[in-house]
Amino acid sequence: MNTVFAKILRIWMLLLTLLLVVQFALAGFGIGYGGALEDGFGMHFANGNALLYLYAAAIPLALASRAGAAPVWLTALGAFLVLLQHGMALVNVPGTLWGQSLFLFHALNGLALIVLAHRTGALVRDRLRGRAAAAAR
Amino acid sequence: MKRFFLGWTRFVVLLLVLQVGLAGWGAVTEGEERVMRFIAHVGNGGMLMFWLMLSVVFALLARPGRKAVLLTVLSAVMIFMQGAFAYGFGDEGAGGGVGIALHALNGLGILAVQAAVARLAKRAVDVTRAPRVRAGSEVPA
Repeated sequence: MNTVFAKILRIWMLLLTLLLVVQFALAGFGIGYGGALEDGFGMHFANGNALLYLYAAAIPLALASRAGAAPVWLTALGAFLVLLQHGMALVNVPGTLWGQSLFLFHALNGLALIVLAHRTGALVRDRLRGRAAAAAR
Repeated sequence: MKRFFLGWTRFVVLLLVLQVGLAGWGAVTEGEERVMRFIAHVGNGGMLMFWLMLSVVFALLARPGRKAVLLTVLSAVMIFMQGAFAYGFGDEGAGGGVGIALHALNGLGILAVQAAVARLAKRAVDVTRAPRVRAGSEVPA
């Protein structure tokens, strides 16, 4: 394991978790601001774009940290789910059953992403601690 | 009763997750009044207020530990704040935006607190069950 990159990855996952929670608040802001998907959602879109790139950047960090296969696959899954969020937003048609069902999953997928980012960070943290404990012995 | 409280809390967690999905459903529903666009979210939310009040009663009956009871009370208080955030900040503009932003964050908080209660309730069930299993396994040779 590369401890430096593992620590960076740990902090990176905390940042992503924070941004994902903020993304929920920004979605709420858009609803409260105007209601329609155009007006108040600028910050939600900007943060969503940032999340796509920042989550994608977690994959090379997970590779460089050499903390096992799990963090690599989990960050790749997270980046794919963020991509899916963008895809759902693009093909959505407001005011139809299709759009409504799609955004039900958009919201649930966002919730799942918070849990995933948190658990991935906790996994890296535990592996770092396990390594520190093994070194102390 | 501890087992029932565990099952009940898991049911409430499930409904809270569904509530996030129903918020997404309402976000792309078209109509005049916000209450009517989010009617599924509002309906489920109103029921959740009642379920969490019941949770406080069940927690006091099941005695899953002081921490679990206090967290249940906290989530009941937080879900009453949801109504204030949704209706108290106006319908549009930056004020309304901040209100629903706080509503979303508080909702995530309720889900997190109830998930913690479910974990504590599981622990309370396991603690009461463990000695019985050990006593039953002491078979004389």
